[in-house]
Amino acid sequence: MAKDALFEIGLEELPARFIDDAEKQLLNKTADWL
Amino acid sequence: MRISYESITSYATPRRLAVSIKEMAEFQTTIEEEAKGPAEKIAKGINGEWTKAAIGFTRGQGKSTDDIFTKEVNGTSYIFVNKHIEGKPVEQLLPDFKAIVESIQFGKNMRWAHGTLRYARPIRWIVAMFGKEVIPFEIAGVQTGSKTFGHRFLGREISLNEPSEYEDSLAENFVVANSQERENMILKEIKELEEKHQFRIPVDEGLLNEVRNLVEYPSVFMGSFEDKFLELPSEVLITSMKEHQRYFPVLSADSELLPRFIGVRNGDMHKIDTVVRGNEKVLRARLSDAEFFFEEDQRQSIHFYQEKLQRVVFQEKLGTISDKVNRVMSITKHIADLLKLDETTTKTAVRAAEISKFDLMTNMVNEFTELQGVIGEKYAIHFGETPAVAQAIREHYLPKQANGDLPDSLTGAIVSIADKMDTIVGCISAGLTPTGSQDPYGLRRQATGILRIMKEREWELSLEEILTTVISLYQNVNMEQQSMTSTVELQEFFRQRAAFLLKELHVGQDVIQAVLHNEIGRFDYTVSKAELLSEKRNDQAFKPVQEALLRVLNLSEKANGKDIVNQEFFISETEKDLFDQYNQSKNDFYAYDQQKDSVKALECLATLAEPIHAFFDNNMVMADDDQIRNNRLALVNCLSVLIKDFADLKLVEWKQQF
Repeated sequence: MAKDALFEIGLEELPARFIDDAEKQLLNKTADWL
Repeated sequence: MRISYESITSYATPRRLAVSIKEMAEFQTTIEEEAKGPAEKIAKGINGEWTKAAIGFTRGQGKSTDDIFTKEVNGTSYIFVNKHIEGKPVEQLLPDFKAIVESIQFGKNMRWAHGTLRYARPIRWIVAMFGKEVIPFEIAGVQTGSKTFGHRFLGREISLNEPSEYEDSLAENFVVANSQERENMILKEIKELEEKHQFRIPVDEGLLNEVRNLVEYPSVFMGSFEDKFLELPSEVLITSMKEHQRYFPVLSADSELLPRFIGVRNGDMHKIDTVVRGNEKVLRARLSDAEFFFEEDQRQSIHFYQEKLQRVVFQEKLGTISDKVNRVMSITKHIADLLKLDETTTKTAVRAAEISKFDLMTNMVNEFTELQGVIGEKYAIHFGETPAVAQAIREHYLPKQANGDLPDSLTGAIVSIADKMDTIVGCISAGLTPTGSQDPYGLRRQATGILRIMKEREWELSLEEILTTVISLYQNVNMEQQSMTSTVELQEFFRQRAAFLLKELHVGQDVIQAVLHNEIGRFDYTVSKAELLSEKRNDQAFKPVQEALLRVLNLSEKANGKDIVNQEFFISETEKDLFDQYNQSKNDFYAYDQQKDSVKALECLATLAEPIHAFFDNNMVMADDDQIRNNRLALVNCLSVLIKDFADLKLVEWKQQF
């Protein structure tokens, strides 16, 4: 049996220069963790 | 965690970071694994009974000695037990996701309210769902839930029933969660405007990337400004639009800058006219300032600005910018003399150095600091300087990035090197050597810039010649912490930069060490030698030559500096032949070396291979007779010096097949 999962962190507006790297970290860390 | 899944998708907007995992298993994967214990000879006693070691091992694995089996590993027999690790329900493990959220690193963090968590921005909500259920955990006082929020002004609070609703629910609430999709929307609308108006809108990738991360729902609009502002330098207009306002400039089909700009709104097209007018008002204010600065600046003179430089500190231990300019002028003159340039070119270069920093004191550069040099060039022309001087003022800042454009003009290149050398030698002499993570003066980039310029220009000038001059200049400067060790530091600092550039050219570390063992020299020639050696390293045909030259280098260590060869002490024909060949090859070698012909220079060394082999095969270098021995060692040493003037071939890892 399988289900979908979702994690979202809602923040005050992030500086644009942080976003791409933060997204990449979240994706990679999640994949490594699983 | 041994949790299987079908796919992971990430999302990011200015207000949220999210990850969606499709078809995640409800249980961890159960595994069977073999746990390895001690060697059998330790696990079993003399009578074949299980020892304490075996019992302790099995107990630690939750098993008994009945579960033991043996297996050989690398010729030794060990005891094993099978471990069955049952997969846990994933629901129990998902709260650990909290650690992942907290571990995300940002360039700068902050704290908020009374919390202790340091994060990029305050966390306002967290969605954590597995199927329809909420995964319970808390970060910085915020509990997880199933509610998210749409666009700050156009959307509403959204209650998610299940993860699969995420992207569409956000889209309905004016949030495009996928970064690439937002980028595509912006590009599509820009293209439509281009086609509609027959404009060209060059899209800078960096700006596009930034703009798509400033909005959750992009809508592109076009604004305009008064024609009169086109009188300003285009660099000022473009910098104002791109850097200050994050607009895309608009060009005509003929690539002329138009009084238009493209902006991206975070919202829909409702009341877009008001938005356009607001943006136009802001840009008009900025351009009006620029116009005022432009006019005011040009009322003064270069001398006026030069005077001001006397009151601006460059670096606490290195004096004012005016002091720096004086040093750069001296270095420029010296480089011009070393290059044997004519009087006119030298005068141009020195003049450019003299006024290279005047624009730093103008209102325009004060407002648009990134335009230093660019404004200097324009104002220099206005104040009656020659185009060559003006160009050098702009170019002396190049290269601006590691792989950026180099100065086009000779005078620009000279002043660029002079300025960078002054900064590097000054800072390192004052004890401001860059560390692994700190290089506030950009010394590494500047040193790389110097070497790149020297390589491109192919000057008959070694780095050490320029460095020596600049160091001597600083020895006249009264500095508290100046030390003799700074010369060694400077040489090593440049050596590391040279090694870095060679590595960028895919030269192996061993060849880099070989060509840089002594000095950097004329860097273009050093690069040429490195590339040639990289080729010869794998060349089977070069093997006999390499072997001969290495025989010399290996034995030369016993020479202890002897270098006077006396033909009277030759006994064999082979040592006489070698000496004759050495003298002939030496002259040719240094001629080609002077011409920077690495191929021919190495060929000269190659002509010594046969005589060297014959010499070693037929003579005992370490003869009993002192005179003969020392004479042969002196010959070996002379050969060694010649070889090492090309490269220290002992350091090369020769890869020919043996």
